Amino acid sequence: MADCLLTIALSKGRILKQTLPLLEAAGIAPADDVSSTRKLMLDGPTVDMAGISVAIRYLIIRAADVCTYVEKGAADAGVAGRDSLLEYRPQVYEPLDLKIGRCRLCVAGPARLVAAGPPAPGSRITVATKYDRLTAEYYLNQGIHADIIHLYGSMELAPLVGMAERIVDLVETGSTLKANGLVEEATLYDISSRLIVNPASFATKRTVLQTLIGKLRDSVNA
Amino acid sequence: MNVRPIAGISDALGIRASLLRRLQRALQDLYNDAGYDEVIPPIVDRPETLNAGAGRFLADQTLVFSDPADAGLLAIRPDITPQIARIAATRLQHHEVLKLHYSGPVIHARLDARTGSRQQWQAGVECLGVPGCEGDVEILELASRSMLTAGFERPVMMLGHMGLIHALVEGSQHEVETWVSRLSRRSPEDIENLLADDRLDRERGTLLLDLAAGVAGIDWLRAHAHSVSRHFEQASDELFQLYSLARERLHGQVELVVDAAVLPRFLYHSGMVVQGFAAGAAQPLLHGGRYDAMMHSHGRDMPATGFSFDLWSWLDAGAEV
Repeated sequence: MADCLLTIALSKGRILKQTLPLLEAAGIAPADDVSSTRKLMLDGPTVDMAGISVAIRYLIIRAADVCTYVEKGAADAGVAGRDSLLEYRPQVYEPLDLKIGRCRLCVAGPARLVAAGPPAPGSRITVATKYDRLTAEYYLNQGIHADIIHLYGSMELAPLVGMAERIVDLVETGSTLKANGLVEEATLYDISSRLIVNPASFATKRTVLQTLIGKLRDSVNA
Repeated sequence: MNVRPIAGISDALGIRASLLRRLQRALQDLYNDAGYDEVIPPIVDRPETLNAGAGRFLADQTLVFSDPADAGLLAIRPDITPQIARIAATRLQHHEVLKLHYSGPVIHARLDARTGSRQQWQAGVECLGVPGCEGDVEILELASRSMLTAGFERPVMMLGHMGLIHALVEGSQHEVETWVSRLSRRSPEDIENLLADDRLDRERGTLLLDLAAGVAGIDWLRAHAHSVSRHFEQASDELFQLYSLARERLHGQVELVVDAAVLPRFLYHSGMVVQGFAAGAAQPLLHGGRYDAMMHSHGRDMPATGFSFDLWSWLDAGAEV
């Protein structure tokens, strides 16, 4: 019987593939094959952390939901993209940059519009994005009125059908932009995934979480 | 008639209302027995009263409107502590020591993204006129007994000192608010970005990174107490003394942890700061600290310390009496 249960929320998909080697190097990988199971809650190993026997449990959830699970205390820690942290501003700690899932949050648009230069202060444009808050802030700071169209995916389509003049989205290699005739105009933020921690868990399970952070830091730096 | 609900504002009905009253009564009994007198300040006050010495974070949460009867501006209180400061500096100015408690609604101008609410039922305790550790320990003791009265298990009190933060960022071209805002996320990378275009020396930068990394505990403080500045040393000494006395007085009731990265909810604290946590509650249950500087802004120089919390949040976190 473990002394402590530690619940860690992991983002599904591309980020999960990059997270697993870090967990393995830290000796806390899930017991099941995460890529083949349909389970949303998985057992990890029971490990010794600073003399405390800790049972690890994983939640496998959508990237945007990791912040919510950790903020609400349903998970003690999690792996979340900096894009979600900046957009939703959850009340969590971000003690470690895992240096995975690297990309950029960019403004992009049709080549001919971008070639004409950025919108002038006082002008008005339509922007498609799932990052409503960050997009509104970015244009507000430049004195530009942005009408934001919230989309859940495939942002690149919006300028092609005349629905928006710009998009704000994550760009990794730029190949999807290129394939759709779009070019980058500006970078808002460099993005990577971070280990996030619930503040109350950090207070009440401090020794265990400090050990976890240390193990993962070693994995990142290895 | 427009009966559309107001964003972030709701009625409390039935069992929820009675649970709040029951919890409120139990805590009021605790404070009365400890020798604290109840005060009931009004829901509205003058904006300058509510914001005197209170910093930008509180002003940002204050709803202000024009009063047709008085032809001036009034504000709905987002926090009761500044009203206690006003009372201590005016109507109760002849009392050397004031021990007061209160409980009532406050309204924030902005929605809390986590709860979707902008109303709180703030209860709190303020101890004025008792200098140094004695006042702070009395407050910590009542804070821990409050959490235990509400049935929270394994309470943890995290202790910090605003003097440490002020001393570390002294000489920075960024405002304290900016540092506090970044430190609240405890992201070393964000602190590195802020340091990159700041003139702070390397040693202070390294210590700020330690704060963000969550390793600035009591041993860290002992190791660095004398290496930054006289102000840092003074704040460290105050925290050592408080930690030592509080451990004696609160032994067995609550776990006490020193963490130099503990931050206040609003920026009017100038000395000790405290956050209270408990197992099963996802966010801090209470905030508090010493606010002598705010008393100065209200025109009365006297030591002041206290803590407050939101009764609705306590009920949501499972408080039961």
